[in-house]
Amino acid sequence: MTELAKPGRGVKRPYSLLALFIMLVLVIIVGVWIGSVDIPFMTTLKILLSRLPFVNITPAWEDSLAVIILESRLPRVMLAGIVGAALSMAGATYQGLFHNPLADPYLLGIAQGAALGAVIGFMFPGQGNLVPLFAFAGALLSVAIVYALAGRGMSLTTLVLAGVALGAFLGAIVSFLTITSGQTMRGILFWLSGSLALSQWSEFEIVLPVVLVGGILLILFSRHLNIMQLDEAQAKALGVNVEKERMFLIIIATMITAASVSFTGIIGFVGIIIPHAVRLIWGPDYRFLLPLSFLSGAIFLILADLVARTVGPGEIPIGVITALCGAPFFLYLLHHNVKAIL
Amino acid sequence: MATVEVQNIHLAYDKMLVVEDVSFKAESGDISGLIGPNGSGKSTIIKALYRLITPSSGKILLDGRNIGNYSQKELATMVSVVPQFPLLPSLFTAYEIVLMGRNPHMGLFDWEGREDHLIARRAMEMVGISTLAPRRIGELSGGEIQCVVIARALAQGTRIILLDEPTSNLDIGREVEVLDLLKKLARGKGVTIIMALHDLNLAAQYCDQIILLNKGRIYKSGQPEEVITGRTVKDIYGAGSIVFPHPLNKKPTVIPVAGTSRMSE
Repeated sequence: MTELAKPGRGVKRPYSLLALFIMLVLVIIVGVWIGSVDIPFMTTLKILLSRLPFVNITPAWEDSLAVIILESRLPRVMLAGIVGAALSMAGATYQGLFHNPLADPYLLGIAQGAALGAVIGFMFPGQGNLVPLFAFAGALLSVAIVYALAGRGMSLTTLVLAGVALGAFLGAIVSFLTITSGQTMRGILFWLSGSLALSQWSEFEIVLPVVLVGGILLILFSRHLNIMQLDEAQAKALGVNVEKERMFLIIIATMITAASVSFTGIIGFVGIIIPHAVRLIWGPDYRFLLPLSFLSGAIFLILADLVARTVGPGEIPIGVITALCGAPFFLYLLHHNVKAIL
Repeated sequence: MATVEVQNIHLAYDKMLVVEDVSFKAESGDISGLIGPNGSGKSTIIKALYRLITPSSGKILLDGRNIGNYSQKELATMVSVVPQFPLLPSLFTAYEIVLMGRNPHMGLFDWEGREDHLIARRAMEMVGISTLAPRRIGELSGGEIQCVVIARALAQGTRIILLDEPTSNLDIGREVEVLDLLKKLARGKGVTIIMALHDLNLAAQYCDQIILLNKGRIYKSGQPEEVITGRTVKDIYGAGSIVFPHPLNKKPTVIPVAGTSRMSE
């Protein structure tokens, strides 16, 4: 056989996975270290390490520091990480399934559905913990309605249009309810702009399994996700059962988005920017795109939250930070890859 | 090897009938050509042959078994397709696209093995596009993309290959290369090839059997010299032309004559 040009990509992807994983661990440590109370780096490290199995460190720090690290900062950092990972993977999946670079996890009306659920949750006085549950239900319900409205054998365009229309409708109800809500308005607005301020371990413990199981399923289907980026006729000719698998993957992506949104509110931008950045750097193969998006999304949102809670006098909404930091970086990537995008 | 039998099929889009009562049989080792004017139903028949649309009546049998009874995956191991306007994502490399042809032979959670890579490389080599392997789809020309999709169909390793205007974007050299390759696959490996073609001369040169369609019905079918005659060309296409045997291989050859269409009256 004659010498063939090597089909390959510039950046070695398995090494990148390892490098990003190490970076994630470092970012978690830094995220836990920095905060409004100054804690020495070594103390932070020791407190974290003392929690690992088989590590014996005699506590030589005040209990209050351990509480700050382990009960306040660590759950927040971990929740930021898992939510960033979830939104990035869901965004990547939606973009592939809908052949649409502008698709984000909220494409099918999830955001407005979750928002309506949350607003209704806020209306039960003193029942703050109903909000996540209602938001989750609202998110799933809106996607289900979109799917039902678009009908069987619908085209992708119909589905997206149904999502946009339902989103607008639900959004109007949310605005109306918010304005007429009186005292609870502040809480609602806070939730709508997305926040990790009230993170707890209990929330992380709910989101983590959903995102991990969903993420693994998406990754397992990633070769078919690659093929579904072709048109439907080609995907079928290559043996993919398009309608069934598309629905299955939308359900998975919706689940992990809904689980994230219900605790943190609507955090925009991550789900669009991270998958595109990953695609531009490492290529479009979903078998790498999804795990790389998981890690990059986690790192990005932990850093964004770190900035959000440390830079200003009070807390800055995290959506502001994701857009402020993410957009220039993305524009830079875009500028250097114009040809690839076209 | 594989035979394709089409028995009295009717095909419709949203109840609008576009193909009526079409029957033919394609044998292993043969190239069958669907020809006819724009909108005569060529592409629609190709679509039915890989179950993108289902006949409203009539049957399609692959190796004697109804096409509806194959699973999507089984069908893809049996039939590969080169569509007329394939949409390909621009960031994938040509090689990655060709490798997708191995999908029906793999379990859902498998990765491509050594052999799959070997087959994909060989397919690109056969089509003569090895050098395109690392290039992104977004950088390729229409003709190059057409070759990538043909290589993918070869990598799929099926006994039936369907092609819809496979040479529409190719220059004359490429055209002959690709069609020679298909002829070799048919003769050498007994692959059943069915393609829709615009170009009557290419159809005459390469097809063992020609099915001439007009307004969704078969106007005439048979060997090239039976179907492509001055009379049928005038009847179906309306334009005047002379048809004569090719000086080298006696296949019918069509040369249009200027000033003979309805427009010139």
